[in-house]
Amino acid sequence: MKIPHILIPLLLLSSCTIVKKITGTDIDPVRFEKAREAKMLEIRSEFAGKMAKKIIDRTFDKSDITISISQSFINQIVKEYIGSTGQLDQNTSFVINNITPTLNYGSAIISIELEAFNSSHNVTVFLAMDCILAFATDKNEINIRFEPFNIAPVAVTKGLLSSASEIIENLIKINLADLSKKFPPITLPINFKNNFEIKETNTKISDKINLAIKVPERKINYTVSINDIFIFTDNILIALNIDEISVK
Amino acid sequence: MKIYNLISIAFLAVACKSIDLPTIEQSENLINQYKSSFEMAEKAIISKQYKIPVGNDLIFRTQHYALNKIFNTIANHHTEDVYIHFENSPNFFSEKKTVVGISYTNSINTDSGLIKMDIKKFNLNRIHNNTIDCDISISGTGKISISGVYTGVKARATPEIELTLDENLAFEIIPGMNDQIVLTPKPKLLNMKTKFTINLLSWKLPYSKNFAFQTKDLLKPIALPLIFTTEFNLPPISQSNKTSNSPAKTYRIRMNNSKINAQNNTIEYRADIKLDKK
Repeated sequence: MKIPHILIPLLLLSSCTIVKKITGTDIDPVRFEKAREAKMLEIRSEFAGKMAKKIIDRTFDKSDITISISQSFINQIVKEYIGSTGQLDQNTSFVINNITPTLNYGSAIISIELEAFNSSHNVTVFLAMDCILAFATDKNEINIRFEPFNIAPVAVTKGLLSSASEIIENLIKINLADLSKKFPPITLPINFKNNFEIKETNTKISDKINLAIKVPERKINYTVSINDIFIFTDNILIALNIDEISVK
Repeated sequence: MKIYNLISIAFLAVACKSIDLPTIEQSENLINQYKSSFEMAEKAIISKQYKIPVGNDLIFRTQHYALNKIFNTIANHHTEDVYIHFENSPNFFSEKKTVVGISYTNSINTDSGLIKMDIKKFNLNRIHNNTIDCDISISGTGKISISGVYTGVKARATPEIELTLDENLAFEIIPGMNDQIVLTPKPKLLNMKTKFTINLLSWKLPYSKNFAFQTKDLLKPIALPLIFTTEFNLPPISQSNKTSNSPAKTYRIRMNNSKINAQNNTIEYRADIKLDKK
């Protein structure tokens, strides 16, 4: 699943469209929430529209194999990142306090709560980062990439508030494409090259004519290829086709 | 599409000069606009998703036609699928004769012979009640060595022999170890027909015989993989100020509450998943 070209400038520039919502600053929390809600809905609407068009073909009904992965499994995966640390810039480290994935028709969005600490100003800022989970399909794997489209401060808990505004401004102007690189793609646990055996059998028949029957072992290799990926509100459906079958 | 272009241009125009944000009214207008287009798309999707399986972390489904892709390939690929060795079998056929008061016995032995049989057809017809019904057709021709005594004269021959097996088989579908779907052949007595002509000196005799054996003598249970791996790697978050990253964490995928339901030409495997850190 690719992010539509039209969204790329929005994603890259969205860090400049965020409302500051910091204690002691001139931030209107309602304005922030509304802007975030609008951005979320824009993304959801765009991807749902695309899915509505392609679901008409019902490729998942015509595929050889379908694998459905639940939202709770996606939860389990991304929750493993809670407590992970990283650097936003040279002076600012972060820790992930929480991650909440939400599946919508056509899109999976995760909201990450970051706690960022700027060592030069001794300021801690809580940030909310929203990412699209982009499913990049290669021939032999499905990778989930985090594509941040929104980062916003939500609170400052300590430090000098006078320096907070400048730090926050710098943080939320971080190039979201660079931020994306901090989250390496997660490869879904699906085998695209598979095999099974027909085991050897040996039997003797004692009759008027004595026979020995042998069925030699056969190894069957086959690959699967991705037909399509559909995101629903409870699950992600991966449609696969069997191809390149060989018998040895 | 136009609206997205306009929004893009608007964002480009204010590119990072400062931290800007839309007013509440502007956001609400956008929310209303996107809400209605989202609802339209949602309605279209809901009308088409009546068969989407839900309820477990992993639901694997495949159809009989997909399995036939594999089993038909097995049938078509090799010409030597089953080896039949004819072993030494003394006097498998004999007849007593009396000519002008002299009694003698004509008898025949099989000495050796290897016939390579080819699976001509291996087709899954129907999946129902956790069972797969299929047709299998195997055949082969070749020569065997026979020897015998005819009117007191010893002789040898290598007649052409024909073997055929045409049967309906059934496999029981059960969950296997290591998260596999196992197709276990149901017990059934199979009949392999043989036909050849004894042609020893001037003794010409058509001979046929059925050999009976169990399905387990022909096929052992077949374990099909689920395609889902049993291990999973989670890459760490990149540390921009470090040259190397810590290694990915490896998890074992444990399937709980797994069950199989095979009906209406569909095999469905369901399980809940637990990630165990290794």
